Amino acid sequence: MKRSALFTGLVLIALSVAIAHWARPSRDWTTASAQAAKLLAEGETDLRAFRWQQAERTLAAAVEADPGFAMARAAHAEALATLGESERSRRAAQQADSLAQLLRDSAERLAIQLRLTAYYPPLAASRDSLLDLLEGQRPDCLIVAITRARQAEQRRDAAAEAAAWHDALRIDPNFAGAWNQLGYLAARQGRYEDAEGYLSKYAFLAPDLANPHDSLGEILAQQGKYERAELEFKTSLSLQPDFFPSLLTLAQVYVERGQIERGVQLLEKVRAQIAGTDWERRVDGTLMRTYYDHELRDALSKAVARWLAAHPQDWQAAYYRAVALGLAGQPAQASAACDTFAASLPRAPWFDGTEATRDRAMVLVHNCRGMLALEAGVADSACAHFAAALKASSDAAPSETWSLRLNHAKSLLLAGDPASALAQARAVLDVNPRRLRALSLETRALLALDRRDEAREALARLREALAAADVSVVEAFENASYVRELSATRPAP
Amino acid sequence: MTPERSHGHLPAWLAGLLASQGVHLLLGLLAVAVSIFAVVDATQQRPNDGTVWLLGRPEIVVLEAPTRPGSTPSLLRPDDRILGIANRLVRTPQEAASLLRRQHVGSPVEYLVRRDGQDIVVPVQLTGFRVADRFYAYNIVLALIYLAIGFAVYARSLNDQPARLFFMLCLLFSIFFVTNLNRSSYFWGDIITQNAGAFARFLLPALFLHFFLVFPDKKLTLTRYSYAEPLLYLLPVMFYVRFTLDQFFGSRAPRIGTVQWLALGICFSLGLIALLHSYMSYRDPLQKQRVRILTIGTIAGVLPFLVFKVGLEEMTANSELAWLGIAPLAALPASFGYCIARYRIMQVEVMLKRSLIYTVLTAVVVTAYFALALGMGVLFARLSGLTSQLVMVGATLGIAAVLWPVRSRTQDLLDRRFFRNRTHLASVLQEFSREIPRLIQREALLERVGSRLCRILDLPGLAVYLREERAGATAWALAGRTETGETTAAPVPTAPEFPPQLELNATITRLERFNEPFWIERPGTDPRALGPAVTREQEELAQRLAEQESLDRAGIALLVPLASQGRLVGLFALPHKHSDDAFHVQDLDLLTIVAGQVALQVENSRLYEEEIEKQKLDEQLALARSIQSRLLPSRLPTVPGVELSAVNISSAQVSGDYYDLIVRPDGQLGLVVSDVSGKGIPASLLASSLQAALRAHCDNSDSPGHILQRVNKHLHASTDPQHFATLFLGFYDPRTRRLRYSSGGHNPPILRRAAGAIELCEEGGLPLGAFDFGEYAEGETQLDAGDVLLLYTDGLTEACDAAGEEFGTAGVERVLHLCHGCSAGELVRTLGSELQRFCGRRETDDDVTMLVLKVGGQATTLDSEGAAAAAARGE
Repeated sequence: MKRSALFTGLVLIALSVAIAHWARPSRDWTTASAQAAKLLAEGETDLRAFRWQQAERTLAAAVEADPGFAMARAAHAEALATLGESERSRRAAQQADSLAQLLRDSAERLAIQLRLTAYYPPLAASRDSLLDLLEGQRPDCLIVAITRARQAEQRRDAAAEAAAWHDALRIDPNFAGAWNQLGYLAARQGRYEDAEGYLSKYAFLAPDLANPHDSLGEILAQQGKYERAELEFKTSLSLQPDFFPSLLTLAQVYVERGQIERGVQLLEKVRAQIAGTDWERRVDGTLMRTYYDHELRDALSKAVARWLAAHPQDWQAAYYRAVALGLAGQPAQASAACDTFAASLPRAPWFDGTEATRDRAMVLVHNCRGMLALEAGVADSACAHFAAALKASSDAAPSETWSLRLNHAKSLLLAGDPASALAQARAVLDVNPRRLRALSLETRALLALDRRDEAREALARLREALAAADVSVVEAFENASYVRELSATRPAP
Repeated sequence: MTPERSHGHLPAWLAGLLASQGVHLLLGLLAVAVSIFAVVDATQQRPNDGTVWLLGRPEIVVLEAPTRPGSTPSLLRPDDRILGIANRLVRTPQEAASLLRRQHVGSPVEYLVRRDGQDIVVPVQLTGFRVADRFYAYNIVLALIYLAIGFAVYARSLNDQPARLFFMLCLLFSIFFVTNLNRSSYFWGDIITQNAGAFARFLLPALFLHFFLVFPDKKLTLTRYSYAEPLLYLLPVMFYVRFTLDQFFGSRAPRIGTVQWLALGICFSLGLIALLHSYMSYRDPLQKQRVRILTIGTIAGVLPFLVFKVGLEEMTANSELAWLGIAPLAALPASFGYCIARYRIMQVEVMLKRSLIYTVLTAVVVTAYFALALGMGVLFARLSGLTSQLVMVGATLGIAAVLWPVRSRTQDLLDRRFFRNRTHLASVLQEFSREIPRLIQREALLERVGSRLCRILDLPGLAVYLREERAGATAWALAGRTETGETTAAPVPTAPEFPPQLELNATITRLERFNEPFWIERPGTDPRALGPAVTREQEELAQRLAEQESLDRAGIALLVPLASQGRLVGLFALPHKHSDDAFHVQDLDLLTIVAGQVALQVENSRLYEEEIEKQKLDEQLALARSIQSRLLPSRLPTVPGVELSAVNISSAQVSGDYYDLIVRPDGQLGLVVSDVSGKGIPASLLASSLQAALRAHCDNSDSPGHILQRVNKHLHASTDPQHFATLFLGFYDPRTRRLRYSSGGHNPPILRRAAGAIELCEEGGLPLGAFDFGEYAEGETQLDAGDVLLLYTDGLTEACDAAGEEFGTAGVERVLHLCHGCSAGELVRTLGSELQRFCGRRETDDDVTMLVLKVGGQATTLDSEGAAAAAARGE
């Protein structure tokens, strides 16, 4: 019995020791302090969840716990850089680099230096070589994945970038930034449901930040999920009341739902708050687009005049001038203004001569000409310009082309090609089935094609989408006309 | 102690493993660890979302979101896929459990879930206690009681099957009480408690049934069909495998289904029926009394359990009355405890008379042991830098097991201090083992062993009865008796007057069957009150009760069988102790072991004595054979006109046959054949005396009758009346060919005439030496050429074949006819060979002596007779 007890006890102790050995947390980075290692892990978590202030405090504590802890100093440098404290960040990075030189573990040294390349200019040039070296030694290192993703982003290689971010998430699934990047990549590729999933996780992981909720709200709004989008924007604004992107997109959501007055009021309110800043231009742009889309000509003319008065020398001034002339029924002058706009584009701050910026310039010019042709009733010309604009924006996110598509659809209807118009409208509706302009154009195209049953169904969807809209919204009038048209042509019983 | 091997159907290694105390200890520790874990897991306040997940799936899909009493309904819904908890993403149930542990009870926690293809955030209110059962504390107490009685029975009993099964049963019951199958969010907790709980629930009924199939007596069916035992566990194991698979691959939360509960309930019911059957089938009131309380307690405990717990709660999910099923289960350990204390069932020793100081000291030792183990476990965890509860529990248990010998040694010291005599048993056994083999003399052996046992066991006396076979019947005779001679004040028992012989039949049958110590208790029932026995069982019972009554009257308290090689060779009969204490298990261990050694030594002693006797006998036989050979003439005389031939074939035991040929001075030939009563040396000596007397008288007289009369008187005067001899004496005159003879009670010689007629020489009187009176008539007959006279002893005619048929005079006459015309020597040889053929391999029990006289043939010599004798022996 005693021998059995002894044997059993020894077996249990051996098992416990084995489990203890197996369960002992491994330390990836060289430090003499377990406390510092723990603080680094917590700080990294905060950093990747965009809790920068908290991350900075925790990482500072880690550095304090072990002043010779190179990786903690590198992480602290990153946190400081993110918070905009570049001088402190530079000093921290310098210290981290010096400490890294003393490390025996070459992989750790490489990892620290690779990390610093993003924030410490003296190392930036050696990023690719450092990446190659570290990838050979530690392919599963999070820093490697992040650097690869940034490399791919610079190359505009979306697939490689997505793969790198997925690698990063395999290492740390709570890396909020990676989810954010994946969300935007998916949205650019038109994978809105995926984007929603990624951004939901991004918002879940960084619940205290306004940006994730704003991003999620934007994706939701693009899919016509206005109610949830509104909640996300409100969450974003509750976290950061001066987070203007959310206010701007929330106003757009109101407009998209046909609540023009509410949307415009919000935009005007925002405009008053941000007067004199760069944001004012964006708000004005949104206001003018809203007026144009909903055929509020007087309001559009006033807004354009206001804008031109405020920014007479801006690179967009010729564009808005062309719009104003077009609205005033002076097509020749408008066309000349548009030519001036095209000629001034190379002076735009974003224009760098690359193919992408050239495409963007082409889109703007064709859009401008298309709008003017449409205003002048020259349907074929409008169609041609909008088609060219769409072709030039093939790399853009689908949602960024919707305005073009709907104008193209309008011009196609005018040109007597309702089938092509229907295709353009449905390309929008496939993503956002509640977009009023698209629903209205779909109905009109179906009526033109004499597909009445489908037209009735489309009309029903339009009426449903108009439930919360203002009564004066243009789509409401169009809806009434469609009803009349369908009633008038109803076959006799 | 060698465990019994009752697993004949299992491989030896598995049977050994099942009977291994190390394995039992490990299982016991495991059960304790699981129980502690389950209790802590159930009662510790930990945040819980109330959902149920499948453990084996990579994703966390909500299977159930039950509403817990006292908590707000969960916003989680079945089929929700949990992606994150508390702003952290989770990929596995382990991660989810780990995150939940860090939350606070009552606080809302945001869950990121995928529902209908959309990722949404759901606030979840976390609840606290996992088990909200008001009666859980009672369950814990019950579990403790079951664990305590289980360990006590195992530690204090012999390692036999019922005790083992009872131990396991208690372990499973305790796990059953402290575990519940309510799922929770705790990954490891769930795995351990769910599996342990399900394992206990599935196995418990089968074990319950198994236990009552071997206890109180093993059912005959189980003995006959040994494979039935493992078969009992087939269904539970299948259920458990299904349950386990459901945890990983199922589509819903694994649970014990209605059909499974039904099957398990049937197992429980069958167990109860088996117990009831055992109780009802006992004819013996003593046996019945022993299990009565136990039967009542078990039924009273288990029946409500089946109705309210299994029937209502588990099968209909009505937990309102579940406590009615659990509460009565206390009756089970209570009734077993009572029967153990009162009747020592399962041979469990219970020392209720331990002193308070001893109890307190034992408690101190146990407490110190647990405190030390716990302290070292915590120290181990701290030194290893791990805060994992699993590691700490494992290390603590391991250290507890390592410290067990220390605790055991300390307890031994304590026991030695308080129970000095008992703790000397081991050394006593060693002494016995050394001493007993040296004691070859039975009396010395029994005396030494008896006195030593009396001293060790505090007995006033002890008797040893040994088996004796008398006239085909077995008797138990007093072979040794020891008394301590201590004078003690009344009412302390004194040594009883052990009867010289025990009349035991039914008791012996029982002892032979079970070969274990047998308590003599005063029967609660008067054997006479049982009425006339109708069946054999009733008759046996009545007889056993009567025997017990007589043993009890004789002051015998315990009978211990002395068995050697499966044969009962004797009994220890023990009276009550001086202290009037009961016999403990250690006492029985000692007695059983010593009894085995003594039995072996008694057998050795018997064989030794037999060997000595045999040697003596062999010596006597050699002497007798020597004497007898000297009685026989070394050469046969040569007498003209007759052929002579003679042979004496000695049997193994040397009887008193002899033949003689006396040539008188007047030329007559004296023919003598004699058979003396008895065997061996006495018979040889008597034959020698007879021959001397006969030869002396032959010189003085020529009348055979007269000579025999004188020899008779001489013999009667010089020997005991029971010693006698038969003898034929004839005088043949070669000149006249006449034969005068007289027979002293001897087989009449056969005279075969040359023409073939058979005549018997029957004249004579009584055997010689039996009586001092008697006349011996003489006969006379004329012999002619070709006549053959055969003198013989009864060894020839009474020799038997394998079927027990005698050779008889008919056989002899047949050979005489066959050997018509043969010489005397040929006749003797033919008779010898025919006799051997007749007897076959069977040896003759008696000497065979033949003397042949053939008239008108050639003379013959002894050399040829030697050859004839050799032929007759088959050499």
